[in-house]
Amino acid sequence: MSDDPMVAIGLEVHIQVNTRTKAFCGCPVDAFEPNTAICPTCLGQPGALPAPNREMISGAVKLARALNSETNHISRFARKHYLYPDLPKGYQITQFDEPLAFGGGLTILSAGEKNTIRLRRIHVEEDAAKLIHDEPWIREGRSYVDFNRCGIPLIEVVTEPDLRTGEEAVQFVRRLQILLRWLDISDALPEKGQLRFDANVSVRFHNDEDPVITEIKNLNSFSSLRKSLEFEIRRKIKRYESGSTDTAETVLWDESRRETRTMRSKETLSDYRYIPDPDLPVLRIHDHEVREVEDSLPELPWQARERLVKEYGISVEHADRMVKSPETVSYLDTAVNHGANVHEVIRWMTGELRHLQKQANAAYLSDIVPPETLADLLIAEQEERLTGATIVDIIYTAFVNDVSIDEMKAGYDNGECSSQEDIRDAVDSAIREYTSVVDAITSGDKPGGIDFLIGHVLKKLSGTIDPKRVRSEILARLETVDKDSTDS
Amino acid sequence: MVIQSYLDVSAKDQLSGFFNEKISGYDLVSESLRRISAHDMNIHAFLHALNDVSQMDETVISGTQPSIRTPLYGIPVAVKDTICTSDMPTTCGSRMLKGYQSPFEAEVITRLKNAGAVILGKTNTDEFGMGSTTEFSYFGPTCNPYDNNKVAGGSSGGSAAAVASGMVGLALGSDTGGSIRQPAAFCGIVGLKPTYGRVSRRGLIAFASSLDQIGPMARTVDDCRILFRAMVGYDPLDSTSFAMPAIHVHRLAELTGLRLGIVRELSDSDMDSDVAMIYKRSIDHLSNNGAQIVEVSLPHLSSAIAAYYLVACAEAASNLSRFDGLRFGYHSMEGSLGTSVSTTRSIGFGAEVKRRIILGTFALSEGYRNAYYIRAKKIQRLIARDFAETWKSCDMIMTPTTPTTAFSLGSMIDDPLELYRSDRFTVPANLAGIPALSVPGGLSSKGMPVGIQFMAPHLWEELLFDVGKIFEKLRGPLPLPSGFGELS
Repeated sequence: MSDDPMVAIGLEVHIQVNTRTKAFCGCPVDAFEPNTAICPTCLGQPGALPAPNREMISGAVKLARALNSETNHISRFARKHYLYPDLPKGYQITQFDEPLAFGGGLTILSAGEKNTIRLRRIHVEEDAAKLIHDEPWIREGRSYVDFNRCGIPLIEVVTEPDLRTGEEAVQFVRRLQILLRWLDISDALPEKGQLRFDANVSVRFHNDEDPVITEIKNLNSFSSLRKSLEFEIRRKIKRYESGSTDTAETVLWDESRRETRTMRSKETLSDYRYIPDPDLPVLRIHDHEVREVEDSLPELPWQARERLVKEYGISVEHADRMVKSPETVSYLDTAVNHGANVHEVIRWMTGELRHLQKQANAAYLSDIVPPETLADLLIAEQEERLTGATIVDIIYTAFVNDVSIDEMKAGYDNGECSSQEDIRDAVDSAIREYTSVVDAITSGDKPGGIDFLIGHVLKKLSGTIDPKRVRSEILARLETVDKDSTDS
Repeated sequence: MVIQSYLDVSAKDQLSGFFNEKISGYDLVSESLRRISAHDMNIHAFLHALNDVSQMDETVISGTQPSIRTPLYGIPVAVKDTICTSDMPTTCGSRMLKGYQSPFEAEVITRLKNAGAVILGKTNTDEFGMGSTTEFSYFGPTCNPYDNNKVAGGSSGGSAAAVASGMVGLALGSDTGGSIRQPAAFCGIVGLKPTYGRVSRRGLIAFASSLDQIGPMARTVDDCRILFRAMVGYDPLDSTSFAMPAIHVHRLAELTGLRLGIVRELSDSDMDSDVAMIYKRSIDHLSNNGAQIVEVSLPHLSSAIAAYYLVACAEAASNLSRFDGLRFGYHSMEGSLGTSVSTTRSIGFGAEVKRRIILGTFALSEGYRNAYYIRAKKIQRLIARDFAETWKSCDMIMTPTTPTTAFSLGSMIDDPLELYRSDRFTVPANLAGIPALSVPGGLSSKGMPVGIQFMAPHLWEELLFDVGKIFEKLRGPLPLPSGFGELS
């Protein structure tokens, strides 16, 4: 057995589901003003009853099937009891020993190798209210409660302790994030609290049979996930090396101090007194419902990544950049199928187009330019009928002025674009006009002078040509000029 | 006793009075209120009543013509104070909810109002429905109209006494382990515990959610049926509500062919001699008139009380954890958050409620959950199976509703176990979720009412009413309590 300590990390990921209403009542989930999206049910008023949100259930079933997790035909809601002002009923509706789904996995890359992180379970539950303590307007010692968040639907994904480093943990949640957006289950923005983590970590040394597991709570960003795990692993190793014993702890990550602090030790573990929720009948998920979900699943991110590499012969890194959403993959596919060069399409998608998309604040690339049109433009470029700069110009002008790209492109095709003759004329006139510059170039005193000439030609041609072509045209002309002068 | 007012005739006859324009809703309600103000000081059935007729719905005051679509047009109905109303306080008989105004009204109240009923007032109850005497009401006990030194039973003692004394013709109760049937039996009226899931629990302040049902209470079986039909039906916002329609049978006009089950495990030693005598007489009435008496077995009957109190208290402990004083109800401002919540609950809840919360919390605690709660749920399933088995050989089971007649006031307060045991005939129907009807069987030698309970398979309420009605006729008129309607 190796002397290296064995690190085992498991994650509990809380995901806010994209639903219109809360988990067990009709309140909207997107209210802004505090305590405006509340009702007797989510406030726990006496006599109010919960009714489960089917959108939440179908989102969880979709995620379960995408992660190859087995859905239970019968699962159950349970009450988890604890007393805190963020929990108006005195219990949270969650799932306990009969979760919605179990098993499955998500594959990450560990040192370049594929590594499937096994999942323990997937279940649904309601969020607690938000406690507000440290706003400047709050008097010392007071707390406020915003119940808008109370009852918002969450999916919880629990992994087996298969992760080895903080970096792997982050990779896992990033891949999960992509999947959640891919399937439109959640926007999964950690900064908006839509993706939250608890991590448990143990470090096993060679003589340690039963290492202590520490739970880190309150992780709200990828960086705090990574940093807290790295901190905790270092702390455990130091403790071991100094010979002191570890105690099982629940710790909180303090982002400002970049350290964990103890919340409670094992002795004071709370007893949640789980009970099947008598207000909610068992949750039945029928085979046909699961099949419908399976049939509706799009190509999944890892499937798309593999296919792009195989089909288009692009690198894994390039494929990764395309596998951001089903829309980007389908954009690439459409453009390539339309005859464009795959590398060119990727170059445009990750370069100019993305830039334009950001400038225009557009949701999709296809809002900027449809993939078929981009393909046509790129083919024209390849056939030297258009230049890159012209394409940007066309796309931009068409988008801003809301005119059809095809119309504009047709204009260029009909000779409004620079012809070979135009280029030669422009080059000749530049050489005639700036003889001193030409001399400086040909004498080798100032070879950079060519850029000046290129600029002049481009200006004359109103930028409708690739500068590279101008450069080679100028160089070819200068050669003949040289010859002419030598001859004479 | 001469019937002097339309309030003293059945709801059915009241309705025909409306049609013949002999009376109006105004007459009925003002007569009810007159009797309450004159009479209720001795009974204490009401915790709250309409101040005067002017608070009534305008249409009821002005109109005399009922609509055939409003089956309870203008008829006053009293409501147990565990059921939320939006225009009267809802206290649950607890200091915790003294003066509490619910922000919404129970589904049954909406249904009754739509049926034309006038909600007359809120009736006394053991705190949160926990008790069998109405002595555990923070607001003081309700007396039995047949003998003011005896209890009215509980926990729906206020509703039972209000009907029995003639202050109102119809009332709602709620039944978790006999809380409708036992006070109905003690006060000589008819009460139904419907099939679990047939009447919406939305707006019923929960005691034990998997056992609670709201049900009708009235002087006659027919009136009970009229009230039941106005409140029954699927409520999509109560997830435990049945979407299934009721089982309709042809009105049973005679008993020939009815197989009436008598429980083998019940013997005379299980009940008072007066109760045993009236029970025997009732069996004879029915068998002499065509019913076939069949002996059936409920082998797990002896464990019913233990299982019931564990399940009910576990759910109660969970349901009552929302009463922390932070958002509604009684609130102690003392000390820190923890201290304030614990003081709120110590003062806000009475002794019996606290006893049950402690029992239920214990039954759900880590290490005890399997031995108590889980085992009790198993027994519950066995009892349900026992009933399912008996339905193979009988159509209906008949028992006394209670082992004794009404207790003397104060006699049971210090003997909770004996009080729990007195529920042994009624709790099996709650554990199995089946409907059960209590009909007066006659008066004891001391002039106190004795109730006979009929239990039927799920959804067979109409059969219970049919048999109950025949039984009522065979029994003959029941002497009314002295003072009934005397102030009219």
